[in-house]
Amino acid sequence: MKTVLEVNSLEKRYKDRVVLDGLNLKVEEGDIYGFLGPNGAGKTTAIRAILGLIHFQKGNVILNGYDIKKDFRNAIRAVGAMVETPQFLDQYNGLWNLRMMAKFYDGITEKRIDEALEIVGMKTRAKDRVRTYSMGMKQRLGIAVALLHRPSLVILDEPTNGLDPQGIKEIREIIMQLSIEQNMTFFISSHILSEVESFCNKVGIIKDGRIIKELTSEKIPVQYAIPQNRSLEEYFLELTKGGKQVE
Amino acid sequence: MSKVIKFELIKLFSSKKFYIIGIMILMLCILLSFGIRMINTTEGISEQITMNGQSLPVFLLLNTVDVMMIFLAVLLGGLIADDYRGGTLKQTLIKPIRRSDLIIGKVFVVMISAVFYLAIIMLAGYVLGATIFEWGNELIVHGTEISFPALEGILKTILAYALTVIPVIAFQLIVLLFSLVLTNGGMAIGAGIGVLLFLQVISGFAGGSNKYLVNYYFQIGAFYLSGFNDISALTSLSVPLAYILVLSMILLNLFNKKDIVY
Repeated sequence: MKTVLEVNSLEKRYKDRVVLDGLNLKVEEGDIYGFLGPNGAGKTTAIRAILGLIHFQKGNVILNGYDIKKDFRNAIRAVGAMVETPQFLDQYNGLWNLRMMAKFYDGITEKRIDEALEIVGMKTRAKDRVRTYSMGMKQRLGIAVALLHRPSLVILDEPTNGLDPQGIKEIREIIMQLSIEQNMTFFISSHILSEVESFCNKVGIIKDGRIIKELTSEKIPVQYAIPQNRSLEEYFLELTKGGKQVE
Repeated sequence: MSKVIKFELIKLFSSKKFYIIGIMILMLCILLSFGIRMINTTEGISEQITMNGQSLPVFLLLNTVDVMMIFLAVLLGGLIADDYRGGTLKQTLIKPIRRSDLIIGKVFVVMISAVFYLAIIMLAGYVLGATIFEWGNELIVHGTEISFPALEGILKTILAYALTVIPVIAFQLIVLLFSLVLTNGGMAIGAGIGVLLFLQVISGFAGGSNKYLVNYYFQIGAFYLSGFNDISALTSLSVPLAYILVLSMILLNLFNKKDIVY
């Protein structure tokens, strides 16, 4: 199986504060990887480091076989990403923003822009100004931007933030559909355990800047990989709150 | 790199602020032009300004450039800071581009803005000059004994404007640097205007050291039209170009090291 994302011994410090403390993880082609962790565990910092938005002191990040420090452009070319709540030029409409983002890639046609809007269910609101969008709609548009160039790896930071239950369900279905039909790989950070549990085949639990447990299942959901038939929630709380030792 | 430049320019040309500032600069030109006419037609004012349609563009260039710097600072103060704080910078940086490409794109915005506003002043100068004053036979550089025949005068005027672009860019890179370091558009505008005023004040005391201050070269058009009598062409060009080079390198270096956390 081809490794599309590899993070090795990543260290990020802000003065004396260690945010990432030797983070290691590996995402393989076709995975839907759930990146779980309590607030302040380092999830967003890790995603920012993976995407080259912040610098790190030690370690390396390999995206699609390219080290981001040595060849960022090739590393990021087949990656689509959404970090936290995506921001746009909100005086313009969603379609305008999407067209602007499309300019960074070769060969993105109007048809593809339409498709991306269709996938995230934003076609009818595409010509409305972004400032009139709800947070959930901005999330959808952010996902459309991430999918625009048919990336092989999609990194989404809290993608269902601000979505209503119906929206969460739709996004989950979109991710699963793209994973199955187009063999797209997803790396998704979330704090909603039930969400991760239901559609990820791999879960990495991060605490204090490093992965404390990684669960891998041959099939979705990942719950198949949790020992003693416990829920992911129970297991996560034990791991992150220093409960009893788990296997 | 061209994708980033295109992206930045589309953003610039889609911005209302860009056109509002253009209108304000135009209004300033109109105000100054009618002001000269009023002075020249009011009885009892002994200090009249010799003016014709060919000379107004040069007069406007030399008398509006400082105010234009303030307007440009207002436009460019948020160029990096607003993108950074608004979270749109990260959207751009996770695309297959180099960070240096983005800074070059921003410098292009500075350049195009400077050219655009100077072009407004020049065109307004010719249109207002021909409308309010007579076209005249020659270009007269106000306050000097210098004059040029019509065609040569137009060419020299265009070149004077073109040369002025250089120090304008040099100063606006200082504003861009504030925008990057302070990551706050309002503060960057304030700091840029503050530096401009500070430079104007210390120019009065600097004596011969004046020629190392970037604002000294805002009058490069006048130096050129007077045949570089007071200061050589080489110095007039190399000092603002040195500012551009050094500031661009600092900008690139700082931006490459910057963590994008918004």
